[in-house]
Amino acid sequence: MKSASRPLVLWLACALLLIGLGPAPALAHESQPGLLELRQLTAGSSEQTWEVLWRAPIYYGQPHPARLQLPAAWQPVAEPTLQRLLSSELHRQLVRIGPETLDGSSIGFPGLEQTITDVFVRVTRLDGTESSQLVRPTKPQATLRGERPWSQSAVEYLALGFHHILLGIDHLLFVLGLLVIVRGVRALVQTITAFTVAHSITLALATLGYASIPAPPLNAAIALSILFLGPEIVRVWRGQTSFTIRHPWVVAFGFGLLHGFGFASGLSTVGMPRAEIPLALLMFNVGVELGQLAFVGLILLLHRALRVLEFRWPRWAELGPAYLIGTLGAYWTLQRTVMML
Amino acid sequence: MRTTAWIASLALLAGAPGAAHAHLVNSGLGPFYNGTLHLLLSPSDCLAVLAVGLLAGQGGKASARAAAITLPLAWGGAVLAGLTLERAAEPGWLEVALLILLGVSVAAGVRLPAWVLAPVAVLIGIVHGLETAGALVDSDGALVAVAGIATAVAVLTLLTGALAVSLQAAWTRVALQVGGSWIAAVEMLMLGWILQGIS
Repeated sequence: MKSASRPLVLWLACALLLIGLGPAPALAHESQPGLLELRQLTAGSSEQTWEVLWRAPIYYGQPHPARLQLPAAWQPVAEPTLQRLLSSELHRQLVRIGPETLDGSSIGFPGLEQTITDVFVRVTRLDGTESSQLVRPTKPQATLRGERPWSQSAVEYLALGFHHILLGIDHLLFVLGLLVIVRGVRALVQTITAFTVAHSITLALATLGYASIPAPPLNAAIALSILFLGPEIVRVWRGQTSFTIRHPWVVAFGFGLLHGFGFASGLSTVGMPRAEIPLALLMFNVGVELGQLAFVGLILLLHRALRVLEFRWPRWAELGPAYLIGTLGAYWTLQRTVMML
Repeated sequence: MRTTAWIASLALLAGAPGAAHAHLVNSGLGPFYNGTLHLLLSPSDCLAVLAVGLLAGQGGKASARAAAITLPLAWGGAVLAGLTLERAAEPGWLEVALLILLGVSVAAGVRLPAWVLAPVAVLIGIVHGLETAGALVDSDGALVAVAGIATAVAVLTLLTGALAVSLQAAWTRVALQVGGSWIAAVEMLMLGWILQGIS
């Protein structure tokens, strides 16, 4: 982007910072989905036994505010157990329900509406049939309905990917930094394509279970990618050059591989029907790309608008974005490194 | 006949947000996006931003710049003031009358200089911001939601103003004026309903 657009980045970075003000402490974890697994254990003529596993992610360092509300007709077999894990709390309960009463049952998640957490609900029956659905904070309840059309699941995974990128302030800041560095339409297309290809590769590898990186060092490395771009943006403003400025697509590809592992945290395949994994992966990735394209499109539109209106900015304001991105990158790198210790 | 039906439909939409969005919209993405979505799903607010942006762009680059700065600041400030006072304004004749005035001004091709346009944008921002405050009372993360609303207002004003400035061909200027007349028509219908106690 050329000089007139630079102060725009300050505005956008400020807006993104506002989005992230709340999540600042742990940032990368808060958009992790919750998971409710229902596994059928026995099938009797008068009643069935089901295992209920409710994995509630830690939310801003605290137990998740959403509760699990099972139908009143479901009878608890024993006292529920609670296991505290590093990034979630695992609630386990056995229940007895009448035959053929599962479908149509409604499970509530009171408190979910105050959060940004999506919940996967997965049902596994003794006959081998599996089904899954996604619950969003906008409608915090799931009505169990056996098999559903694939198109419904596809739309849910697409929306999940779209939401995941919108909440990923670190991913968006990285893309923003790249947009400031690139010069010309060709370089822009190359860079965004390289980032897309790279994060698609690692998102697929991580989702299919072929590769993984522990979350703490991964999040620190993603923060480092943002810190890396700060000095490069300052170089652009000073009219200097560097390998990154000459070949931004290489950096976009390299760090894009890391960001892909980060995207994978938003798509839990635990307990997902195997046949559904390719569809989930594809549509989640399409959702991420659509969100990314919408973000890039908005920035380019604003860039154009600011040029048309000939906004003039003081020098300090022009340098603001570089220092803001660099400072945020440094802060998150330090914070996430300390969290690993 | 078809045009009248369209205007009536738009007027219905414009009148809807007062009742439909008495509380902040839940986007499931946190308060910033809740604020942004709230503005985008409130047709009367969108029409106000559109009207100010078009009028500002018609007045030239300086006016459009002034609107892009003053409107979001006034809007956000008024929401904060409304939250502090715990008193929100109901949508009423003043809001509608102001939009009629803006729509007619766009339709008439009026070119306002920046020093006139800025106070107009501030007035619109205050009137709509006070009304918006009603949706944020008792909301979690109200301050971040205000930032989302102000950001949405800034982006829309900037884009609309730049669009209006960049319209050079004669027919596009006419199209812009037609847009202004539609805004005025929708709001006149709204005013009629308010005066008859329907809305």
